[in-house]
Amino acid sequence: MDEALEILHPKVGSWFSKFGELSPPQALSLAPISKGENVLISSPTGSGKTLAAFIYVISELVRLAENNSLEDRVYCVYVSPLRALNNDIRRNLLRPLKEMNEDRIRVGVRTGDTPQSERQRMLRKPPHILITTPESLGIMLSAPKFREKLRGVKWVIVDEIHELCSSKRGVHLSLSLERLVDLSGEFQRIGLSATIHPIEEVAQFLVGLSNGKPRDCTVIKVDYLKKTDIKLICPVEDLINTPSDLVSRRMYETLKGLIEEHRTTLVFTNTRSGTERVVFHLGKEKVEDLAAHHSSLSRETRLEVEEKLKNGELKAVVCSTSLELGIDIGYVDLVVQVGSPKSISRCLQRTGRAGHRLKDISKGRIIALDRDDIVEIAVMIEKAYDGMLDRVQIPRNCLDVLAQHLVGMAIDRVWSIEEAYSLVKRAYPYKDLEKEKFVSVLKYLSGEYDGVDLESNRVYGKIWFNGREFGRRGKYTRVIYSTNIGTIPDEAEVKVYCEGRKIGYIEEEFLERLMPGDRFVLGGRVYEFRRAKGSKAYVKKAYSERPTVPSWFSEMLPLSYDLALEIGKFRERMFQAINSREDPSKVIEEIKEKCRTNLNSAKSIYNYFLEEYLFLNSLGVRDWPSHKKLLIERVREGRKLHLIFHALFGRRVNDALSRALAYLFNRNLGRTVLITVNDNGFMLTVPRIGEEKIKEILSNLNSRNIREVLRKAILNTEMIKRRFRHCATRSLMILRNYRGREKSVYRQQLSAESLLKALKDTKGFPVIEETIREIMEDLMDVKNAEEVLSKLERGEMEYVFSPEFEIPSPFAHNLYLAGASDAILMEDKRKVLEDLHQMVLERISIVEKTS
Amino acid sequence: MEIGLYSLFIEEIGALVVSDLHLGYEIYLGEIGVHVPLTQYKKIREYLEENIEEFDPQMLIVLGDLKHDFSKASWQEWREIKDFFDLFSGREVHLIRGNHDNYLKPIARKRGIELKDQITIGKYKFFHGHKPVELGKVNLMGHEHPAISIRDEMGVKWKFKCLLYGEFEKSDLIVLPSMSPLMGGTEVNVSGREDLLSPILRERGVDHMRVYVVDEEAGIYEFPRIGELKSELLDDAIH
Repeated sequence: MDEALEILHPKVGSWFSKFGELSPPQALSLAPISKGENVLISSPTGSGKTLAAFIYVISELVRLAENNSLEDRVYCVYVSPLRALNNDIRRNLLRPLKEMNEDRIRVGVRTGDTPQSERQRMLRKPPHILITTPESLGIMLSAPKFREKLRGVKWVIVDEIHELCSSKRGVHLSLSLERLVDLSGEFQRIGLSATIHPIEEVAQFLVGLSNGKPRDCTVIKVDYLKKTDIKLICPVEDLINTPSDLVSRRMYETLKGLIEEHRTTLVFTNTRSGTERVVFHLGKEKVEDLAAHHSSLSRETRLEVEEKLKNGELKAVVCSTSLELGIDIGYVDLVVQVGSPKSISRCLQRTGRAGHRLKDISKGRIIALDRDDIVEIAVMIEKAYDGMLDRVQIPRNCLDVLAQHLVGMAIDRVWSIEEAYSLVKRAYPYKDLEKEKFVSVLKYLSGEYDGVDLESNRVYGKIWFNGREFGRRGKYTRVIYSTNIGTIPDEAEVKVYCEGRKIGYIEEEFLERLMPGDRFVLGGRVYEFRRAKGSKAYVKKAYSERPTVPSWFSEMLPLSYDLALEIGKFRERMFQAINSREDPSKVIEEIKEKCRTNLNSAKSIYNYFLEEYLFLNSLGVRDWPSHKKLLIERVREGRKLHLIFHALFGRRVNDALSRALAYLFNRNLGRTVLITVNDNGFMLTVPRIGEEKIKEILSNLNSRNIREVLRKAILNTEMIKRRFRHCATRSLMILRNYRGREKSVYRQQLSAESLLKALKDTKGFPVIEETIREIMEDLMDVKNAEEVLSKLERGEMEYVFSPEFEIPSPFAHNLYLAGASDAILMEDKRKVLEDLHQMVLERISIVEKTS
Repeated sequence: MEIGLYSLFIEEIGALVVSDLHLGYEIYLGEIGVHVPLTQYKKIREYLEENIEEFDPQMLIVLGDLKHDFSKASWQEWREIKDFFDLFSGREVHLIRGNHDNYLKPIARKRGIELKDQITIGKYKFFHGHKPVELGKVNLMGHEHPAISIRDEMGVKWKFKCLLYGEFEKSDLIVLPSMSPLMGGTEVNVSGREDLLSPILRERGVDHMRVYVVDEEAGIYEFPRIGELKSELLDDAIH
């Protein structure tokens, strides 16, 4: 350890040695960082990653200061996705500097919250270490004066990179970094990540490419460090037969018990509405010193909660996902997750928030909410202890993010296509970007897609483009850029009121589909839509269980494909055990042990499988849903037929498979097909047809044509309207902030449907292309859907039909009750009108008869 | 009278009647930060050409909102509207002033066309519909952009533009659909009476009016009266 410290300036080294031992990430990373290598450190929270990244930087800055060569510019840029984290980091840097008696080094934070006065000060005295967010970095790169202070940056530290790389925010950052290279010359990159897989790809993402070859990166992986104690908890003895409201009540009692037994508990739900509900009920149970934390709360509220938490003033904090990332939350001795966290990584990350010091055991409890949940959590825990991790997916070739950056680049200077294209391709997500697509974005930005002559371009173009070079145009472009930069889509904007109280938000596109009398789910409750005025919707409480309208805003996190396959294997084992009449108590014991749960949970799991087995048996079905057998149930309902596919692939793959198949059914039958999807399968609602017809249509989908089919399907769904708006906003086609107008005018003044219709005909229009890509690759998982189809083709998996019946099997209940999430619409408008007309006449005659 | 593609043709006087084209709407959208490519006029021109071919009208009557407001008189205003007038050269053109037709006067003047608040030809009276008016025998108006919404058996909501026809005391009232592809429309079978745009319709209600769906793909289709298309009524019928 002493040799390690010798690399550092003595002042810094001696300060550091006061802590005793260097933590593993610190010890292992010091040498490579000092050699100027790019480094990715992957280790759990509390392992001293951040300090590992900074310590050498500080040491070098001290050296420069000693030699009187510390200049007034930025030497190190630290980027993290959380504004809150940034303030923490600043404090954590200033403290050691103070303790070292080092006051020459300046540390500053610059984000959207930074006041103008502070920014002016930074121009005069730039911080040596600049702490910022991805969006602010993007803005700074085009700020004419401040960007000069970034020339000669030597280090860039990217924190929480596991979180960034899987979203468009990370893609945005990767382009910002390459622009920074263009401005500043090559610099050293240090990435900080929680446990993630595959780590090599994340390293590639961090460093990008140079001259067509990946830049080097040293990976320091210290994942073995934290010990965890994770258990599954079932709130009731018999999850199957206990009514849901009782399960709910017991769940809150259990939660209350856990909170009271521990000093400070962090409770994760998966959704904002879930958070609110849990806090509400815990409050009713008289749990004290309780607080909620989620992204819809005001900044002040969140900061207050974070402070209190850090000071040990709170007994419990309930959040959705907002406290998953690294801010210092003080002493938490228990993490409880309500419902499945949906991926092993997330499960471990959240649990890791308990027991802050490295030596502490992270204690986590996961409470199951229903039968599918309990199986999922059980398998997840088993696999987590087996060392399995789910794969991260990095979005590629995002044209909307590219559009933003091209505008930013155009603001700086004139570029040739070649120069700009090379720069973009250095960023990992864009390494395979086709030139044609690149140019299409330039064309779009310059107004060339408008389909009219050059004169008209003046209205829409943000850049000029002559086929070889491009540059900025219009006096508002810089303002548009800096006020509209970012990748986080706008929140739902329509306020929903029930009996005078605001109960939540829905999206504009959803409101467009509602009619008076429609029932939909919001925050876990069912409401009936009455009317809408402007951006307000009015509803009343509905007591019916089943919503009548598809709700798409799935706040639900998707189950990872890898984990879903494991659940499939688990199913196979369970059914085999039941079928071969293995001693139930032995099986239950095995579940208890492997999945770290109690007797009740294990029993509930066993009984769930037993129920399904017996149900299928009674129908004469001898094949059971697993990773090898795709069971297709057929449930009759009046004139409709519900085809329930027990597709255990996670929601993203199911989203792809369901839409593609629904499209094929729609084409073949000429009728609208409804789609319901969840992690364990999907349901297609079609007119009553026979088995042969179904097989015929299924055979039309294969691993080679799914992308093509899916593309057509997506264009024909409701979902595309909403995603389109997000992509249009990111592409600067629809501006959130324009000339002082900050509210969205979209719905009130434009029909999403007609806009899409008009644009669909414009070949290669980047905003549409990106919407489709985002849906297919980021939202859905077309790649693994191809894999599933390949397995079917190779015979590794087969589908099995169950006979038509009136009720769904136990495993299909959740899907059946969920209410459709999307629809593939009938295309023949004439036929639609005829059918509607027929339907209306029939209903009128019923009304007349009954009155 | 015959219903055409987002139009009405009155044989008796050889008049083709259209309404609410909102040319230049994209520019207005651009001014509020929504930059959509210019797509409307191409479509509108197709509709107009089809109508001209089918009916070969002597005259054209636009029931208002030929153009949408935008703050500066720009090139588009001249180009699309010029083209529009060229399309009807050789035929009589009558323009009713709508609430979005500011600054249309100078452009129209150049072609020797007067903007009027209302026109009466024989028993037919033409106006925009944004202000109350004394009714004639057969009245034609726009402004409302009527549409109906029906949810099908699968639960999908379908919205179609339509023409409305109703008898009020001794007069007939016809509301034309909007020819603009981008603009939304009032769902007349869903909205309450207070939410209707036109004071003329608000005063009288629309429940008794007959609905003729007009759709470029599906054609023209007659539906029952609006009162019979109210969603609550239809949904209740099945329960």
